[in-house]
Amino acid sequence: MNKKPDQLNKVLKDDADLIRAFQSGNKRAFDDLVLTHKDKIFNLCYWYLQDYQEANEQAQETFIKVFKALKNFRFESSFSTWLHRITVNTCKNKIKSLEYRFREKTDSLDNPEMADHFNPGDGISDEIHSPDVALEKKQRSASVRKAINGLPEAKKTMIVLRDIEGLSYEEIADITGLKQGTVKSKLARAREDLKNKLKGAF
Amino acid sequence: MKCSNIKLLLSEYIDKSLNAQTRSLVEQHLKDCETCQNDYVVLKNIISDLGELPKVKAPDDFLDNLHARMDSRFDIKKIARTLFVPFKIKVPLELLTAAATAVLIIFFVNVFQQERPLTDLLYNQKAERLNDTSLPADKFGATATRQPSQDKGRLEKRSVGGSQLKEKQAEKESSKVAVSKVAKGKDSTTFTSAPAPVAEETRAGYLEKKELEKPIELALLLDTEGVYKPDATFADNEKKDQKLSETISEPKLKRKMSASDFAALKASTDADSKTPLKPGSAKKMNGVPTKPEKEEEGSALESVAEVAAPVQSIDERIKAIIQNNSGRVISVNYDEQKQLPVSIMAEIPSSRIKSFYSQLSHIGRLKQPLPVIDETTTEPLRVNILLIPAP
Repeated sequence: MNKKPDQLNKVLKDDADLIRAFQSGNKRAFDDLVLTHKDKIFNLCYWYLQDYQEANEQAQETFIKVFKALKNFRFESSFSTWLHRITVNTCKNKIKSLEYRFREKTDSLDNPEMADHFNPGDGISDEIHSPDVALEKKQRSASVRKAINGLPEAKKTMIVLRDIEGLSYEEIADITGLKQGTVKSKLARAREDLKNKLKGAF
Repeated sequence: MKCSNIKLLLSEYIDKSLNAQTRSLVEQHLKDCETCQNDYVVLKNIISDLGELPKVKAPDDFLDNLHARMDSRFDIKKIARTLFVPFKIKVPLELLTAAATAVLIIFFVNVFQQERPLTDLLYNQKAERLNDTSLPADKFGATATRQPSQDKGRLEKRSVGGSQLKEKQAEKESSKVAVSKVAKGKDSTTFTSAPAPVAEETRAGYLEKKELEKPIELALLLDTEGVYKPDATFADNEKKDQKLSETISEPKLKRKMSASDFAALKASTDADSKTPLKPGSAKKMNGVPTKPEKEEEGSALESVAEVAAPVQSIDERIKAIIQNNSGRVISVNYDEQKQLPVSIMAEIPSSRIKSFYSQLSHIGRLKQPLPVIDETTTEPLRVNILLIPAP
């Protein structure tokens, strides 16, 4: 266990180094990249798709795409931005796919109990001591999840990238290919939409 | 500032990304406007909550699963690559398909064209298709002659010794021919009763040839009875004829050797066509006009003439015409029983075909219109002249 942070530090030292190592033939470097970014990417996928299994699938799909494309990575943007872009596009494609739409209809994600069923982030709630607070938080979390899921795809992207992932406007602009001003206004509208959906919950 | 404008700025205000001036304007408005203040609080809470949403971590075996998935996928890819190796030669395969299609098209086009008569192909003849007509052998005897139908200007194809003529007119003419033939023939009973096997043979042979060569078919209806029967029909006169030819023809042959081919032939054919050659008169008349043709046939024929042909037979005349037109005789079909020529196959240069045709018309009536022929070429044309005895 003690070695883990050291390993992590070693891995984290630089994405660019790892990419160069990968490009020069060290396949292990890719594993380090995956270990560095997997949680972030998984979380994005999860909030984007709101399905744990689907998030797992799409996160893996994203890394497979990265593995294929990494040889040709030209460092024109940061690896993180590039990785997020691939993730967002992968998730968007999944949402647009007929299979996913069909599943959405039959396997309702709106059901809060579904969210309870797999909440892998439960470990985080260790800090919450009061059961009432915990319950309220859970309820609010379920409402927010439901509201996010009800947003159009473009607005969902803004909310997830900014408010859940905590990315900057600049990063979001890089990922989505939009101008910063557009990102700001889109985010404002997305938040307004979300607020309207959550009226009464707060 | 209006509330609607403030609403749009609240998002950026919470993110603290507004410039100082705008921020102070918003702050001022929020102090004054309770609604906007409430909105601000709600929105801030929501954003705060969003930020506090649990971070979902990837499963511990994420990397292992990823490796497994990648390996399986790359295995599939390897299999696919081995399977799709042949598709690397995709273009050659497509070319092969195109080539095969082309071959098929050419094959079918050729098969279709083979069914068309050769004359169509060679001379772009419109619809002047030549079909041979044969009179039924049981009806018209061993010669298995051909009878053209004048109405259509074309001949009907008929099987040997079998079918009857469709057109009445043709039938009438044929029967005329037949009757005259029967009347003239020595053994008329055999003519009418028994179809000659020999004729059938020659006919069959001819058909085979025709299949191979497809010559131009000409039916020559001999308009004088004498010209057609020197050898066999007047076998009893042969001896006399021989003597006559020996006495008369030789000196005249020598005399006319110097005459030009065409003029001589013209003279001969003119004389022939004008002269009603009856058995009796034939002897008198044949001597003079037939000599030039013999000249053309050369010395070999001269000797033959001395021995065998006192009255120049029709086949010899036609041979002469053929040679006169720079052609050559390929074969002569004889009715072996009657010793009569049935048909003559010859090759004529296409440039001379017209003169050949006109010269033939001096001997008898041509029952076959000459097909349209490209006379500019010197390509030899095959012509099959069927001899139909005159009524």
